[in-house]
Amino acid sequence: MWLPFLGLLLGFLIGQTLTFTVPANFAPYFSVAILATLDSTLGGVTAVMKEKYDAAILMTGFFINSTVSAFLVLLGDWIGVDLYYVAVFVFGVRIFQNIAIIRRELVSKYLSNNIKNSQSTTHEVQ
Amino acid sequence: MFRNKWQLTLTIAFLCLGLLFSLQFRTHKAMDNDLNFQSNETLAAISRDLNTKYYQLIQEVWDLRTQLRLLEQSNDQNKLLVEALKREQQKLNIATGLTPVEGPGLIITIPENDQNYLGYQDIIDIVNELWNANAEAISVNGIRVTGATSFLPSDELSTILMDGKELSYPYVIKAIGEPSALEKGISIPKGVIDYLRNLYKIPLEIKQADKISLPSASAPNLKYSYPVAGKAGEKPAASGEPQF
Repeated sequence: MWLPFLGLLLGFLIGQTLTFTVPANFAPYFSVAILATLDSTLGGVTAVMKEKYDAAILMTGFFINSTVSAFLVLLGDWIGVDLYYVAVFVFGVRIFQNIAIIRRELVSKYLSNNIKNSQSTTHEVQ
Repeated sequence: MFRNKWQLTLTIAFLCLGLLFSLQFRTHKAMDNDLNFQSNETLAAISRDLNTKYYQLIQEVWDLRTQLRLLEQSNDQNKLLVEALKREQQKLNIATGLTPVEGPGLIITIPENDQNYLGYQDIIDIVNELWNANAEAISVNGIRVTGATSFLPSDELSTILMDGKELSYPYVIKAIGEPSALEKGISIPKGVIDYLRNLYKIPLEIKQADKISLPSASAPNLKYSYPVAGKAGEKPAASGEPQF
């Protein structure tokens, strides 16, 4: 259960020990990619909660979403459309949605038996 | 280890996420400290501050330089003054006999003789003749002759008292100055040496020496005399150097 969070901590420590830093020019694309991966992982957690987990979906979402989103922002820069804020907005909304679902699942599982699993959907945000 | 198969992939995903997070975290921190990513307003403010500070520092440097130059000047003046005073004091010390001196000069030896009496007046005459011949320092029997030196006869008139101390034969008078000038000055015809030699038959010995050392006299014990205010400082400054 706590293994993924251990992985998060471990990854953070590895990043801190590395001397490599992202070039400052790539920082915006990198931050969008991070938002995409955060969205994917939270989606994975949601899927685990709902017992609909698929490893292939998580892995493809994780890597392809991050690279594609970063590339889209880069493309937007090339053609003069600031897609950076669009990506931030979309991923931000999705992340909050996922967090809300996780919260509801946790509440229904551990705190209250009144709320049925079937009542929560991906579109319910409270 | 992995009870559920979702744990492995999710852990990998979280690990990558943590890695990316920390990298971005560090990049962002570096950017905050980098001037290239500051806003123009901030940069302008920084530039203004630095400019003000720069001019303040330049002003300070100039002030300090001026101060340094002034101090150096006064220091030089003080040094020159101290050196001049030192030289002055040395000359005065030689003149008053307060410091041991050495230099070329004349040695007059008067050996003991039974036939003729050599009086205190003769010693005074010789010393006066030596001063007259531009002697710079004189000693009699190893005692420095100063302005306060006295030559007196003893009660029985048999010996000479110099500063209250009895002198004994042979009398040795040493004088520092240019040896040939001293000898010439002291042995003029009808001078004291001439009389002593030819009239009283005293076997004087006069010898020129390249190096004579004279001891210092004791410091004068002045209780009652004070320099006249206003005139004391002017005299050495006006005449420059004491004349020997």
